[in-house]
Amino acid sequence: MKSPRWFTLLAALLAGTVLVQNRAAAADWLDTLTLTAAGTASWVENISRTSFEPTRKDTATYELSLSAGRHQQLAAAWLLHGSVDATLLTVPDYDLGNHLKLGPRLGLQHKFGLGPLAPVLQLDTALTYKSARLAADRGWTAEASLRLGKRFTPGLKAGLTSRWIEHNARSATFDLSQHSFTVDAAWDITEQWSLSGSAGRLSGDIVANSSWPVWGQAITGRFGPTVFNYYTAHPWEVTDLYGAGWVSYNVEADVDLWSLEATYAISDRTTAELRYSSAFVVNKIGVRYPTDSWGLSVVHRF
Amino acid sequence: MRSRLLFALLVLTAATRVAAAPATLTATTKDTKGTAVTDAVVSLIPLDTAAPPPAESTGEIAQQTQEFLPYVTVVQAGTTVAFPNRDTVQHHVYSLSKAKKFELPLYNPGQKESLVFAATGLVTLGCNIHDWMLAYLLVVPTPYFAKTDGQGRAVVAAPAGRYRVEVWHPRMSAALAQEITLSAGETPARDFSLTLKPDRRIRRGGANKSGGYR
Repeated sequence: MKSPRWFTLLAALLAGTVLVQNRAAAADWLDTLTLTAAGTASWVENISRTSFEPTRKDTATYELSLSAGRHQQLAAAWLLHGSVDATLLTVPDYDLGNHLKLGPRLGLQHKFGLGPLAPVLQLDTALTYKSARLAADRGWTAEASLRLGKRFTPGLKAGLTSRWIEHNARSATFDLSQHSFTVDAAWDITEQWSLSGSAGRLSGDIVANSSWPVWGQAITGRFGPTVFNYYTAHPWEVTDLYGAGWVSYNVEADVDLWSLEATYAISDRTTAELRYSSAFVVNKIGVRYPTDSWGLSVVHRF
Repeated sequence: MRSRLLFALLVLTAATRVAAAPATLTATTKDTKGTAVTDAVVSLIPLDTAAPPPAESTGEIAQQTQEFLPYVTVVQAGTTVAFPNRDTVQHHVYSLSKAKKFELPLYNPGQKESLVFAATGLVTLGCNIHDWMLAYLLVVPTPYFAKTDGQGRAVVAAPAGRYRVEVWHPRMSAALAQEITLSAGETPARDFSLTLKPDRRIRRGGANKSGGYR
């Protein structure tokens, strides 16, 4: 009878040891996670992306982002970075524009040499599910980007990014296939203040919107055959996104993107950012949709 | 006779003690605006005799909260310096300095490597993952050295003799040097005015600097 007792005790001890080791390993892994939260309040002019100026909608948006990430050095100059990102956007005046995005991101970085001035090549991929209030816009987004960055002085760095985005929505109206090139620069003016800016060009599908009285004229030829032929050949639907009867439609466009950002480091882990961004959209038949936004963010790294 | 012998012995002992008593140099460093300079290295390099070899001691430069601690370290040539990773993230410690080139990649939390610094000179340390991490290791040919404190003061003890006093700080273009003669038991004080370059380190501040070659 004693042998089974010994055996039971030994088995319990071994199981306990394995559990403690696994918990310790899990705790170690958790210790190396980087958790970041950001809250942004923005004022967006022409959030509706409307070409007819009198019907453009300006409004406030609020965004909360959470990211849990970790980096792992694979070899001397190779760094793997993984994260899970969640973003919640609310548009109080037009709540059909609310959405939650969630998904993993994986990046690989290669540094060409040692030291802060060595150039860095970074490949990033992300897969996100967009749970939009508007059912037609729900779906998966795949994203890939390639960035070459370099620090030129202790306070100045710049980079060049090429990005591809594919969004497969429930409705073809909201399907997106985009490619962009962006150049950016950041200048650490003082210990607390930084200034950064970017300029770029995006080409591909965009979703624009129109009130029904304007749209009705476009698809009945009142704006001419070019507009009629182009808009009736692309997906559109009534979504009520910016009011009753409002239409969303998918077009190909070129977008000139600009941004300017002032950043203040409140502490080693918290940053306040004031950002102005501009997107000047011109679709394939020359119709323009300028959009400007001002945003104030607070970012905290736990 | 016995009392004379005893007296002579006492005098001899006292004289020996006086002769062996080291001199203590108190160096005070300030910048051109009169502000005390911390982390300046004051070293006394003997001019008439060879410096004694390093004692069995080791230095340490740790990685903690994504910084090197301490910022400035000084050791005598031939000393072993340990680089414990007391952080929760990986580091990639390196130096491209002529005095010692080395790399410690894939440096995980809890790891501890040690290196011997045989050549004199300045070793600038960085982390190839966290660009803002920076530290200096000054390897000197003498065991007589000290680092200035928050008041800009350093106290260096050395035997009597002729020395070259060298004062160095990371923000100086070149070390300050002057000759000094120390007498046994003496406690001289010297003030040094240092011309410092602007502090142009890569800024760490903010939420985005969590590593990753940024």
